[in-house]
Amino acid sequence: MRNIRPRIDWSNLPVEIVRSIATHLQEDIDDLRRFRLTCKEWRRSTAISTILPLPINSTPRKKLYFSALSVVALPLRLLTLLGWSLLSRPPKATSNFATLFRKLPFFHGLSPMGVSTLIGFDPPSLR
Amino acid sequence: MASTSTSTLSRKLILKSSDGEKFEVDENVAMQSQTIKHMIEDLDDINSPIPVSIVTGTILSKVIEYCKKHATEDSDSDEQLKQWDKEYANNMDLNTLYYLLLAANYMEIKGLLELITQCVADMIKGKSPEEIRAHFNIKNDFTPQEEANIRNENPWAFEN
Repeated sequence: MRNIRPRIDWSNLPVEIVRSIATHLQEDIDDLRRFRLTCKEWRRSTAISTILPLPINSTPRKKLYFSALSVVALPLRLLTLLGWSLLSRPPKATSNFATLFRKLPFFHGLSPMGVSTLIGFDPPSLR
Repeated sequence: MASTSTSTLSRKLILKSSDGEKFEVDENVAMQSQTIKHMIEDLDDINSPIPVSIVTGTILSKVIEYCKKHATEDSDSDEQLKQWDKEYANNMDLNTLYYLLLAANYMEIKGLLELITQCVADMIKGKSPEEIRAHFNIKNDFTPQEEANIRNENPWAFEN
C-alpha cells in the first residue's frame, strides 16, 4: 500500500513511549546501544540518570558523568523481582536496594570500561 | 439524566474523536481504556459523547477494533489472541503505528501499548543507527564531532 501522507519524524515520540520501546530491547545490549545512538532525544529519554536517583552530593562534573551511565545487560529477573522497569519510577532507595545496586553491571556511554558500582561511586578522574 | 438503573445489561457509550467522529461502543469495550474508565466514574451522564481529544476517527476506529477483540470472552485461546494481535499490528503502516502509540498512551490501554511498542522494537532489532534513522525518518542530530567521539570511543556500538 502506497503511503501518500508525509512521513512522521519518530524522534518526537513522548519520552515514556521511547522508554517503553527500549524495555523491549533490553535482552540484547547491542540493540539498546544502537537505539540510543539514533538521535539525542532517544538517547536522553533512556539515559540512566532519568531512572536512577543521583548521588546526593553530586558535583556538576559528576552529574555529567552519571548522566551517561547505562546498565549493561539488565538482569530482567532481578528487576522484575524489584518490580522495576525502565517504564516505572525507581523504588525508594533502601539499604538493601543500594547493596543490590552495587551488583548491577553499569557501563559508561563514553568509555568501554565497566563501572562496578554506582551509589557512592567516585570516578577517579572526577574527584 | 443521571442513570439510576441497576441493569446488568452492557450500557452503550459514545466516544467522540478529535475530528468529531462518533463511535457507539459497549461499556466493557470502552473500559479497556483506563482513561475512559476514570472519565466515566466521574460522569453522571453517560449519554453525552465522551471526548477522546487527541485521537482522530481513523485511529480511534482501530483502537476500538483492538478493545472489542480483547473485551469479549469468547472461545479464543491465548494463542489465537496472540496471533490476532500479531496480524493486527502487522497490518498497520508506520504512520498509523505512531498515532496508535500516542492513542494507547493517552487512553491508557496497556495491552495495546505493549503490543505496538513490541512491534516497533522488533523493527529496530538488528538495525544500525543509520538504518533506524532511515526507517523512522529521524534526522541525525549529533554534530559530526559528537558522532566522531562516540564512534571512536565505542567502536563496538556500530556494525561496519
